Amino acid sequence: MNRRPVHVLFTIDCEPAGRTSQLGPSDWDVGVRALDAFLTTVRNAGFEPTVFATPEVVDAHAILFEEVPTSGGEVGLLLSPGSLRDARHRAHVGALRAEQQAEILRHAVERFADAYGRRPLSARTTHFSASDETFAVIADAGFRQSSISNPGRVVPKYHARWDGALPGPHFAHPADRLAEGSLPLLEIPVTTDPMQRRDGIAPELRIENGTVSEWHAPLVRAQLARQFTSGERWPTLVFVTTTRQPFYDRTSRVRQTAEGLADLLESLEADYDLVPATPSRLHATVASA
Amino acid sequence: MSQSKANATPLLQVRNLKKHFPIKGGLFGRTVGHVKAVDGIDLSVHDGETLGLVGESGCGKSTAGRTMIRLYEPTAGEITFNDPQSGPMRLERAGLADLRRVWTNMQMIFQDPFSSLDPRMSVGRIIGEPLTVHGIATGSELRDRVGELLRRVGLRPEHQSRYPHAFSGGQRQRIGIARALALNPKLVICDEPVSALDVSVQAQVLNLLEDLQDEFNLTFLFIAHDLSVVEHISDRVAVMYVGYVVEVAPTDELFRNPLMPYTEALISAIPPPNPRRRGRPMKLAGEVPSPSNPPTGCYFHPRCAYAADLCKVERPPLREVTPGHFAACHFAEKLSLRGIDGPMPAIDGSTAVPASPQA
Repeated sequence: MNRRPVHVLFTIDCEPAGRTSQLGPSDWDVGVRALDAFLTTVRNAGFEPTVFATPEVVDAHAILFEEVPTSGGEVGLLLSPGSLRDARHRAHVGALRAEQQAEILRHAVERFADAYGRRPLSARTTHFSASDETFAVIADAGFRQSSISNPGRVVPKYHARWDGALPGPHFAHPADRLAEGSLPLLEIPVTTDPMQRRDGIAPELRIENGTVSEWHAPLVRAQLARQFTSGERWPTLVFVTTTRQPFYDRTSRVRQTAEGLADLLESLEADYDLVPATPSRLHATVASA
Repeated sequence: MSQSKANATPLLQVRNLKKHFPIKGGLFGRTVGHVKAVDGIDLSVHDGETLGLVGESGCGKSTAGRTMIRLYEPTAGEITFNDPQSGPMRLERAGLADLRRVWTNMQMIFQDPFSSLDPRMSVGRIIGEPLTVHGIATGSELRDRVGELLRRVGLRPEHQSRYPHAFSGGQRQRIGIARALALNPKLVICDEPVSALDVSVQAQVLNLLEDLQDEFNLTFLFIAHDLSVVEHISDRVAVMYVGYVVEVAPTDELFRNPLMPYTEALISAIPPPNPRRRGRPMKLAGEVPSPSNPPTGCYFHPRCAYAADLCKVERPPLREVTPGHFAACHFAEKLSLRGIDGPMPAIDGSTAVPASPQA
């Protein structure tokens, strides 16, 4: 029996409510209900949620965000130029030059810190958009962890090109988004199956995709098998979702899927040592190894 | 609960309380039946105690709580509240003016902290509204009192300018508690106040409620479906099944020496402890009967492992089997039911739950 640790991350992307964002909830109250129910479901399953939020969302749900780290969990920055108030650049991150990325990141971090009381140390970009310079820009801004890559995904309109990306956690390269490098930034890819890519999208551990039995269970088992066969040093399962999903509705498919994932992971405990993780906790584990 | 409390006049007493909801049907929307959500319950809640009211989803416990406080009109029965200021009051026949007066001493905390707070009102207005409506405080005095209430429930006075969407479910429940305490009530009906929260936050809110009970000399009717939660907070526990109270006893006695097979089934359905995965739902075999068409005799007999012919035809009354321990079972004295032999699981699911046969 293989009992090597598998680091499990449940991440949620929080965009502002309303029309400013295609990825946000219909209104703030719906958004906070979805986020709270996601946090509750993940914690009750025994894992620690990671919340990637834009500064607007942190400001809107400020008192809730104060509670996230104290109740087990991490808050990181979701860099979304299209919905960032007073941003000078609206293009997707991967479409911006390095100095433009740095400028918008500085602006987002300042606003995030104003709302949250401290600077974020983990980051994600919307639509997994990045250029070769993105990791260096993020590391220069003081970030320690990111979860931006989505191995196998190729969506040119979002500047998300992850064909050939490394599937496991690695230190990022300053000039090549697909390579391992020497930056002090641990990149933690979303768990995907690049071999099954269709229309530019690789199957990923997105909670709202399909059912547990037909989508998540085969994907989880296949990726765990691949990681252990290939000798992946830090096996991970990285789940993603957004606050557009009605986790607050106990009868909704996404809520039932989230609870079904808890059952799935519990069933894997006989074979794997599932470790609740957040980006910073995983980085600490990697650094101490 | 001490014997002196048990003998004292109850703060709240209900007798044969019923709440039936009509089922409309047919071409003219006539009443074609009734959902007997609460079907003749007898309960007493004593000053300073916490009475837990437990049962599966749909058993009528929330309806019972709402009917006791007259948020629902009772179909039949008596509700007596011993108002500390004005003496006993029969609530089932009280008019709105009397109810408004008695509601200053009876408050409710609701299950869903999201739907129970108006998203368009600031937290200060939500908590201060009862004080304003009753003409108790305005202006800076109101702000000070709201700030103090926020502080008492573990939030900060400056939070009163924020709107509900800034807060988590647990924080919202604290706001609901602050609002319930604004008028310094004697009795608070807590309707599943922690069931929507994650287990670590559940423990925080339960501890807060216990602290506030001591500080404000509160009496709680605590409605829940989670036995660990009820065991944690209750002095006595009443078990409900299909609109009917089937067992009442001091908490420790009920969990160690159940006298009603339904209580035994509930205890046996507590999920085994899992240090990682907490707050798993209790799963009891069989279906809860429809309250619009309950079985004959004892409502539990179709799911009861001990049912005899008598159980199919005669509904057993709730009777005192041993001092302070009431059960609605024809065979309460004869059955040897399994209770909990060790510690109850902690709310975070960390403690083992060995269930063993009674001696």
